[in-house]
Amino acid sequence: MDTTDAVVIGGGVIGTAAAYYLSKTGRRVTLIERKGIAAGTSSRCEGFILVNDKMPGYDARLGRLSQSLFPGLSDEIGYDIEWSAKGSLLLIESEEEMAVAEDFCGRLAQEGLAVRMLDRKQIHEIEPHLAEDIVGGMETTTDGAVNPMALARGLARAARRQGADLRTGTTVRGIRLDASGKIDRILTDGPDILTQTVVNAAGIWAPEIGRMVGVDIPITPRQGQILVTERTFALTRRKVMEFGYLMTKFEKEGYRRRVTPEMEANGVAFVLEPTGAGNFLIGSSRRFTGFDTATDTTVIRAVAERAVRFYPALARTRLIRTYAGLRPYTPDHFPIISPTPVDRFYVAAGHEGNGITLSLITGKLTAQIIAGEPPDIDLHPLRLDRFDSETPHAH
Amino acid sequence: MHTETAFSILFDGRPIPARDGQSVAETLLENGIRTFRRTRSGEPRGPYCNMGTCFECRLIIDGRPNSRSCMTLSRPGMRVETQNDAHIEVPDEDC
Repeated sequence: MDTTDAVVIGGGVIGTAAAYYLSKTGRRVTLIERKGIAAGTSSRCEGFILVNDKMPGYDARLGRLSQSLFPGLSDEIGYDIEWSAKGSLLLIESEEEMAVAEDFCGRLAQEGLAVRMLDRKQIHEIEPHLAEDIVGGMETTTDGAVNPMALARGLARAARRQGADLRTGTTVRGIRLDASGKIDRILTDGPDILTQTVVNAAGIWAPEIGRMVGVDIPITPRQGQILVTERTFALTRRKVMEFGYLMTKFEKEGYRRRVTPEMEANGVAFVLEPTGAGNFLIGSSRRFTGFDTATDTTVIRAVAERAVRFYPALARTRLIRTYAGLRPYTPDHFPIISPTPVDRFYVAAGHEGNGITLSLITGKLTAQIIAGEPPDIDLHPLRLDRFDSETPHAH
Repeated sequence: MHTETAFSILFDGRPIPARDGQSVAETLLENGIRTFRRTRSGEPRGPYCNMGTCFECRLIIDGRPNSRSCMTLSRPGMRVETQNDAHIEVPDEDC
């Protein structure tokens, strides 16, 4: 029988970040992962580290806190996470959108974020391959991207150097509580692990782990499909998305884009990520399909059409493959980084499409909660019990 | 060589003889050309499988990058260029 200070369940970017920051505090940590490091959503996503898609206010502050941890991480952990900071662009299709974007940009600037509006002339100067009718954009210079698989692997290795025990290929079968309701041990398909502290970082599978101790976690898989192009010309070096992406992400009422019914039905909004290898990742869609990670031609065609609308030269680029990932969605789009009614059973999950960006701050906050240290940001908006009441939580 | 079906294609701007029914890869190899492409780190690449599966013989055909020379027939006046993976240009509108 093994004894450890804390067990982290889940080997994605969230679980490995939690294991890294927890082991840094000197605690003995065991990370349990059913498959391998970054085998789930963390290898079926894009690598954006963005603040340009956060709502002004708490959301933006949380994103910026996390983002600021990335530039130095490769050196800190001695592993190249492929951090690239070329900035991001939000593309604006119409004058109406421009007005909304200017307001949005102004409010993000008030948070101290490095954002600025680009007019028609400025945006076409820096993005020569853009469709001619694009009227402007919003640039965020601190935005960047990482390789999410390298991130998870690097964090896992660093955690191990700090004494963490990584148990990949190990499935959690149950969590046993003692007579007083405190955690006693983790039952696995390998040896049981004695511990009093558990971090549930199982992403879309977090509800399954929660049910083992009777904790209800409102996370639902929300599928996104991504297209991978051949290695091709330097279409752009920035992380690019359409402004309408924010509107679909926040499910803004009354906002309508000129898109096809297929795009509307599948929540298709354009995002483009240049990779270190010279390929481009094109996204994406948003729909609830259970745990299905199959791609389909209707969605792929809609995503491709939407991409060509913004960068016509993409029509002359081949796709080499497509994949689908499952975002851990919560009803208010905020992650859960929180204690639960079960003593020392914590949740760090539910980041929807922000998991890579928020991975480091999530790991750090989780370690601060467990160590009883003052957190880097108010944790109230991230608490699990915000879902207990019917009234929406105010941020 | 069957003179009645001989024609030339342009390889990096220079005319080289080709024959009807030949793939671009065959034409280039027959003309002693071994380097079709350079990888991002600058290493030379040429045909390996010669049957469309390995993608090593990719180059630029009539302005279209990443074209497999083993799967493309030589045609009169075709423009073929070596490809540098570190720097691929935007393909022309009409290709």
